[in-house]
Amino acid sequence: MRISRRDLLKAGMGAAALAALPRPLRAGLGELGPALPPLVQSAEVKELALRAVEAARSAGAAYADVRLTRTRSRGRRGMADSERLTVGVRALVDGYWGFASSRVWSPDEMARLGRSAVENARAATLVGPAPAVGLAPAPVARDEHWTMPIEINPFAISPFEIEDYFFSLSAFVQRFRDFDVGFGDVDFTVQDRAFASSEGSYVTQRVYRSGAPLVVRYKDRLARTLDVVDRAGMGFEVYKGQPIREHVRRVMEELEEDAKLPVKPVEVGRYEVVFDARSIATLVAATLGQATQLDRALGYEANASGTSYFNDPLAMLGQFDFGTPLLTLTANRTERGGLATVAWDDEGVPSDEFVLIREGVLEDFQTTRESATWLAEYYARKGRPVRSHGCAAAPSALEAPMTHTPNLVLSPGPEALDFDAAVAGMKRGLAVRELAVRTDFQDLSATGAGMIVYEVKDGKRVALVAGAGFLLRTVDLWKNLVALGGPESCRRFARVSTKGEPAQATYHSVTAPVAVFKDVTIIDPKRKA
Amino acid sequence: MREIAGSDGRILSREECQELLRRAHALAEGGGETQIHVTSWWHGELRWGCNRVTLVTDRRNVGLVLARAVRNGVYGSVSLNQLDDRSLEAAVRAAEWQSRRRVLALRGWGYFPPFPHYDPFANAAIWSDATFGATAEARAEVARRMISRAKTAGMLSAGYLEVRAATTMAFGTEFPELRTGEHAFWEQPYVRWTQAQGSMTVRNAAGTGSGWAGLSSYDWLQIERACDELAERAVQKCIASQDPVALEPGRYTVILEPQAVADLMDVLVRSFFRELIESQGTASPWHLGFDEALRLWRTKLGMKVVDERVTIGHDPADPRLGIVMHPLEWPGPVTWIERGVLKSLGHGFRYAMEHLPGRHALRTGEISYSMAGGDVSIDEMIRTTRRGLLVSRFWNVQLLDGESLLSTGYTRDGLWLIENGQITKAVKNLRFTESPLFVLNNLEALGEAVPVFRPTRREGGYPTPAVVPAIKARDFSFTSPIDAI
Amino acid sequence: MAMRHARIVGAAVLATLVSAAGVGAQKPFAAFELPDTAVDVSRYTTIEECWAAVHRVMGDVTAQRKRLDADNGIVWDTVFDGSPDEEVDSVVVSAVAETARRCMARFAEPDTLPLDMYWIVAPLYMHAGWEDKARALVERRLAAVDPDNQTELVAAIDSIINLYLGGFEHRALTIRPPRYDLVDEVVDRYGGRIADRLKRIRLYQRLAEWKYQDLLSDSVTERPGRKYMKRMVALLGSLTDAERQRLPEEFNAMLYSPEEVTGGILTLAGLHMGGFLVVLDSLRSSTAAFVRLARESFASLVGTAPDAIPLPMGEQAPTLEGLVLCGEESCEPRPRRGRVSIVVFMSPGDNGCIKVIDGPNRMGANWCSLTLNRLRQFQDRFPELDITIVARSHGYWGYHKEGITPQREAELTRRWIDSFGLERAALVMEETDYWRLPHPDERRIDRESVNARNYSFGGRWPVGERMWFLIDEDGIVVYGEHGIDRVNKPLLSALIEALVSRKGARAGT
Repeated sequence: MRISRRDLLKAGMGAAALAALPRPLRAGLGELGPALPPLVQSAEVKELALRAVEAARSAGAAYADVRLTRTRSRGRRGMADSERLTVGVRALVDGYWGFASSRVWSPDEMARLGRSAVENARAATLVGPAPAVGLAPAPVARDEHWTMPIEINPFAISPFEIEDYFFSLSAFVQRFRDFDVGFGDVDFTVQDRAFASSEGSYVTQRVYRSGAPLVVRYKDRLARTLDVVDRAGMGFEVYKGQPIREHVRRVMEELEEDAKLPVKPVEVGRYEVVFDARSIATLVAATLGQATQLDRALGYEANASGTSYFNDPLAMLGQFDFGTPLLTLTANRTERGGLATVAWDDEGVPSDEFVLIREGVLEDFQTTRESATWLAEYYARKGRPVRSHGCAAAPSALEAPMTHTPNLVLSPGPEALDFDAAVAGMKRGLAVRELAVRTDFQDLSATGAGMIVYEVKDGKRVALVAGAGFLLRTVDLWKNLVALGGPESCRRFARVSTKGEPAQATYHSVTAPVAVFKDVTIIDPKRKA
Repeated sequence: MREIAGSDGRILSREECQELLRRAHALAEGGGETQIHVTSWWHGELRWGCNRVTLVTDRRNVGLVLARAVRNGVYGSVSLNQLDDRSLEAAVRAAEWQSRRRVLALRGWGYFPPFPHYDPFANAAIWSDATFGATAEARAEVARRMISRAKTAGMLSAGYLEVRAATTMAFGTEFPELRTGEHAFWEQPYVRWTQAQGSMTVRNAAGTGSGWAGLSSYDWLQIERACDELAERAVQKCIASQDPVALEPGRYTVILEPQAVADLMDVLVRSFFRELIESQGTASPWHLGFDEALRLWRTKLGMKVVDERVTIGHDPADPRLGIVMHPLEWPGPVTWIERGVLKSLGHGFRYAMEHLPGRHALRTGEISYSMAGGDVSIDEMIRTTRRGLLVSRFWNVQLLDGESLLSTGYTRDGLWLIENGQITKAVKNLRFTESPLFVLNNLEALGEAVPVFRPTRREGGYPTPAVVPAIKARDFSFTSPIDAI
Repeated sequence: MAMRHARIVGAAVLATLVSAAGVGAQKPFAAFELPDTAVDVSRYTTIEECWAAVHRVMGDVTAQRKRLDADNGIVWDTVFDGSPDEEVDSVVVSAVAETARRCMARFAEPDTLPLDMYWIVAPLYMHAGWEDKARALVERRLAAVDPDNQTELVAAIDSIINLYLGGFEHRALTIRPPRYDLVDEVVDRYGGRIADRLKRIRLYQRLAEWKYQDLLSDSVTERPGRKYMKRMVALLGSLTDAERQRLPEEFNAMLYSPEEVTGGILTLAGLHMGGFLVVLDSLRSSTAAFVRLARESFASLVGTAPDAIPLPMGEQAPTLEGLVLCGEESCEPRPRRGRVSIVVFMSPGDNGCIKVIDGPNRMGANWCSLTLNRLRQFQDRFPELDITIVARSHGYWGYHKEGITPQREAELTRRWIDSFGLERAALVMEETDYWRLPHPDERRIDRESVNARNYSFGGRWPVGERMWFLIDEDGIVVYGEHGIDRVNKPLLSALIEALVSRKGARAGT
């Protein structure tokens, strides 16, 4: 039946008026409800978790644990784009770990997974008897819950608000001729987790992850990534909680200034170099973060991405000296807003803060309950308890937990030094923004390139250097650390830790100040021998 | 392809996938069409390090991307891994919500002839029951043999064995009246495959030597049969690579083992992509400049671009190379470079329809490929080398320039100096800056083409095997030494 | 009855605009909670966010309305065409006004806002219905122009014209209906301050060419731009020699002489003015009279010879070459003598037409379908009108290529056209000559279309996609343009009407 224009008009007008109403439109149209309580706090989920652990125990596991995760994501156009349920069971039998995982949350499946994990572990016994696996003690937590503190829940606000926000930021940038902005792969994720172990722990958590690096481009020639926004363990406040437009405006002005500089080809040689905070975070993650994973250091990743230059952990702990007292690196899974921040890791170990490198000397490694026991001798010498540092992580319950890098913090220097001040204090050298590096398979050396590289003379940026490559050797690099930026220069960035076979990737945050190094080797990366 | 009737639920069957679409569409509100893209996978893994098995797994998952276009709306899509009615319904509603936000007046606006008939590709079915049925015990037995070889030699080993099976299917409800066959020509018929891999790294206790060997195939039995030989090779290489000496970077004659060749050739094979020239001429190595008169980018098709001993192509019927996944393809081999001449760049369906005589989409790069070999053994290559380097593999290869394919990366797990026809010493790893095009233009000899280690990285992803020969080439550029072993 | 339908439709629209009830809110396996979509725009703190909200609401409500239209079979003139017509527009207007008012409430003092954002704020004010505020802001902008900075003045007036006539590419900053009265206000007050008379001519030229005016004019004779046309002509006539010499540079036409540039400006402006409609009546007596009068009136406006005007009027329409496929009538070559005909160049392989279909998204309405639909409307209104579609072969059709021949392409195109109800239209399929780059490249390079070359009348008239030519019963070209759109549809209709009635009068009917 044809509907007349008048009818459409009326209907449309009514609807249009309705669409613009600010009040949540619930009355009479179906109750959406407030932001749902975390699924994992329901009794049903606990029941499933306990059943899985019980099944593994009944089948003969000496130790068993289970993770259930529910992960939801939405993109910047605001709709919930994806949702996944996963469950994974680990079982320790005769010194071997077995693991089984799937996507089905049902009582039968829990039983199957429990049995399967045990069967898998048992199969490994065919290889031969294994030394017993020790697990460092961890407190039992019963029925505890933690929700990552955030300010604006991206799943509780209207997707239109998120959509409008990014449109408006894009519109703001485009008001200025020749500028453009890129938001990267922005997404908002919430993950609910439940963990149960045969030791009696049952904990649930809800963690958030929001944001992506924001890039401002000028005339398709120059680009800068904002250093105040990056993926973080936060809600929508990662954008709304700070004056992004002011920062964007400042970066735009700096880009305009940079564009006026002459462009010079790279001259190879050794230089003193100022690196911005993002570059330092990259260097920290690449040369220190990965190398201090204990399993990697002991050779358990040798068949995948490689080993570590800390190739004799017990001998090197307390002895390996980078040769600079400026270098202090701490790790944590506790900092507010950190991507690796949780209340308990994937083994139920409470999150921790610890020192990896103190004043240039290797002090500790990233550990799990099992790997912590491998350093028992060292901890005994130091009078410290043998405890996991809570670094067990996995992207979801589908993957078995491994030692993944937690949040890292490079301690700043005492003076109030920032990028501009460091440049001003340099007689001759280079200043680099947004260094990207690739390391070798032992994290001993790296090659890199900067987004923007300035030539500095007498404290002033006099030219842009095109095509500069950086050739770095980890130990030399840190030994040549001249100065660290002050606390005000610290910024936090997102990094990815990829390891395992098949590869699994998790996020962590790295906080770093700016820094100045001497004797950095600059090459022309495209020059052949 | 054989159906897996009533399979044990590790992966989805064709009927289950078809049922999914039917169910999703039955839940639709607002008319229009429904599309799904559903994948399922199962992994059986076994990993070891320091001669000790660290993890044995059985993992499985399903990925469903569900798209809905309400009547006269665009497609909105969501992804999930739950297949129950309640989740499907919620997903359908969510996709419809997205769909309603924009208008796309679709069907009914003109006559269209029936779809051309689509023949599911008659490719080699890379499905192996042995792989699908490989138990954790079978994997453990293989691991035992490999680890014991390392232990006997007094070395430490780390390794990984995996078997996997996966399926994929993409199809929708559109235009039932125009379909002549089971599938519309843009859809992906149900296809399943298996893959197995085995690899091992052997290092000495001091960490001054490292050897590696690996193999991947759709057939687990290949891995099983080869495991002793793989372990032996890794151990021998470790022993031979101990206490390497530093070598000056520079240009060297190189003998690249097949694994190294595959590691380097990736960027070359990915460049076989015709549409890239149309869109960004100078980003492709195969452009010949812009023709102002004809207003198009000229290509090097038909020109000799590398040594005439080089032939690189893909054949979906070759079981060593694996399946092809593109729905619009008409199966058939494609040879990108034939006897040194650039014969094809691969192209998509639209390009073929508009510009070329046929309607075939030809495979572009980034899939499995084989490179023709020769008859010179590696030993012979060594014997005829006055001074050169023997490379086991490359690692972390990164493209620096799209036009020349200049790349950089590191050698790994064994590098030896050859002097006067003999391997004289183990050499510390080096960083290289070289282009595979340059290598293929400075060819001295080719060995026998063999399958190499090319596992699928992504869960549920499809494999891209390679069959490549060893290569001896001149003037390979190594630019700096590294200390990593 | 109508009210009940309205309520049903209303409910349907409400349901589509507002999220449905959540699923299984308290059960553990619920997925994809639908979001609470309402957002309180009055909380927004930046003008760009208001822009974003208006952009979104405009898009969403327009889409809803268009989908409803499409569901009810009203597709072409509202769904597909870029500009919604006035009656249905009010739905969009009222939704947008609500959002604009709420959001802009906190930016409601035009005197306090940064001037460099006026081009965003003023349209948002107009959407909110706050015309006085918009005008005040525009006034502030113009008053702030440095009196000695002519470039800035011209640029500002340009922007403001765009603003008031809805010419920005951003949909949220596009005002409907276009406000000529407000433009007049600005031009009257500030146009005279443009010292450089060539720049003033440019200003008037752009105003005279404005196309959107036609959307709301019942009669194409009432174009508001007409008065600017007159001013422009007057100025052109009074230019000094020195000024005349600067014309090519000013109008970016360095390859042409000042006379050619003058001619070009006035021709195009005159065309958009529909200047020749004043002579439309003459078409009822004879084409020759019409053509002569039309060219003369142009010439008097243009100041050049009538023959110098690059319009194909009065030319003998060449016979079309190629395979001719007809409906019920026998297939004589086209265009036929003794018939009023329209020849439309439109081929399935054109951009914006069927081209290559590689998935369901590409199977549907396109610009060709739109044109065919309009032709169908003409066919219904003028049964004696001869419609001829001129196509050329491409070597494929949609998603078919195996065994494709020009004959097959003609058959498929024939059936496609028929499905729009144009069975009586003739299809001319020219077998395109082409060559291929040598093996293995083998790209197809099409040669020039013979029909297109013939209809370019010595290269003076470019024949492109969807180009149409209206031809009288003696085979003389009356007029031609590119595409049948909302602007020229009334024009074309009037021309056909005149020809058909003339033919009927001749035949004594």
